Amino acid sequence: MHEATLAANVLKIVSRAAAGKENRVARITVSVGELAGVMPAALIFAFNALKKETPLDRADLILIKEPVTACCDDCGTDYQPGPFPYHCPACGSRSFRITGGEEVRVKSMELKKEI
Amino acid sequence: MCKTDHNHLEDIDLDCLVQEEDLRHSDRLKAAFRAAGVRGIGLLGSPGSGKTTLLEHLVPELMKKRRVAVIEGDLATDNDARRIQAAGAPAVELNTDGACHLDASMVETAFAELPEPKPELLLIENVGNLVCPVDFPVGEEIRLAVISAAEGEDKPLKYPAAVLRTEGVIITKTDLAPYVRVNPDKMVAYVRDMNPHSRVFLAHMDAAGKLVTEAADGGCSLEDWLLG
Ligand SMILES: Nc1nc2c(ncn2[C@@H]2O[C@H](COP(=O)(O)OP(=O)(O)OP(=O)(O)O)[C@@H](O)[C@H]2O)c(=O)[nH]1
Ligand SMILES: [Mg+2]
Ligand SMILES: [Zn+2]
Repeated sequence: MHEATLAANVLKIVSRAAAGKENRVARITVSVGELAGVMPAALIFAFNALKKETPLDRADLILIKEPVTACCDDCGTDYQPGPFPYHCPACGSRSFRITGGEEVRVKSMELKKEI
Repeated sequence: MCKTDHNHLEDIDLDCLVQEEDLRHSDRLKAAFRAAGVRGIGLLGSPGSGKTTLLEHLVPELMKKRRVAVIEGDLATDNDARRIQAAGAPAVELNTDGACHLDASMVETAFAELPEPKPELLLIENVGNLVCPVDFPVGEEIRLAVISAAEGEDKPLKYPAAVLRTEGVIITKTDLAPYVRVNPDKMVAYVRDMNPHSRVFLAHMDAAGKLVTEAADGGCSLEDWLLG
């Protein structure tokens, strides 16, 4: 369980990006790759615990799933695989490289007027 | 577009990798290892899957060809480092005190503690865990996932990241397969279906307690693959 480390990183990234802005951060959108070893509920729990007594204490964390994507070794088609074994929808090849779904990214933040 | 939420001001795109620092640290360490002629190999797998037993077997074999050292990661105790030292190689133990994985800075510190001359082949056994270490590279060139037959036939399918995000998988304890109603060939087939680029190996303990490994995919031996 390293969700606390990830949540601390999210806070660090957003605090840096929001520094000097007049408006407050209301929402943070984070994408979680399906192949990242992250439990969404644990990440939200850790975020909500760590945001207290920081300028981001009223920010909500929204998680979106980033699907696995692959690129066919034989014809170069990018695709979203179904269940195993993965196979290319264009040529049927079973050989591929993973191109997405491994990462956790802070996608965006939404600011609101301070009220 | 009519905005109903009048407080709404702006959306700012960030698109920042949450693990940027960890990944950069691992890349730096890998570059430093390469420059120093060190080839890093990562081992990861569930508690008790047989990582240290495999290393105890490999160390004397690999030492015939290269200078070898081992970094051991565990929540507690230095048992594994002592087992490796008994097998003949220098070893440093990293205790994570609860953390579920090693990271590049810990490995960098442990490497500095290894005696001179530094190894040409550095084997890094991660904390017993089939999930978290996958997300934290520690400067290795290749990673080997260690999955024992005793854990159950479907484990490759249930832990896809360990198969898709590593370069090799070894199915250990196949001698126990009949007792736990597992067909190791099926585990090999799962891995091959899941990751066409993965090297696949098998390991079992013979009646004398000696570990025997073999390639399950027609490729070179485990030792040769690790030596690179
Ligand atoms: N029968 C059999 N037992 C094995 C085999 N490999 C390992 N073992 C046994 O499995 C137990 C755990 O092995 P370790 O090598 O300590 O496992 P590990 O993955 O290093 O464990 P942690 O470091 O605690 O995560 C030991 O009692 C080993 O003797 C094998 O191929 N066959
Ligand atoms: Mg061990
Ligand atoms: Zn194709």
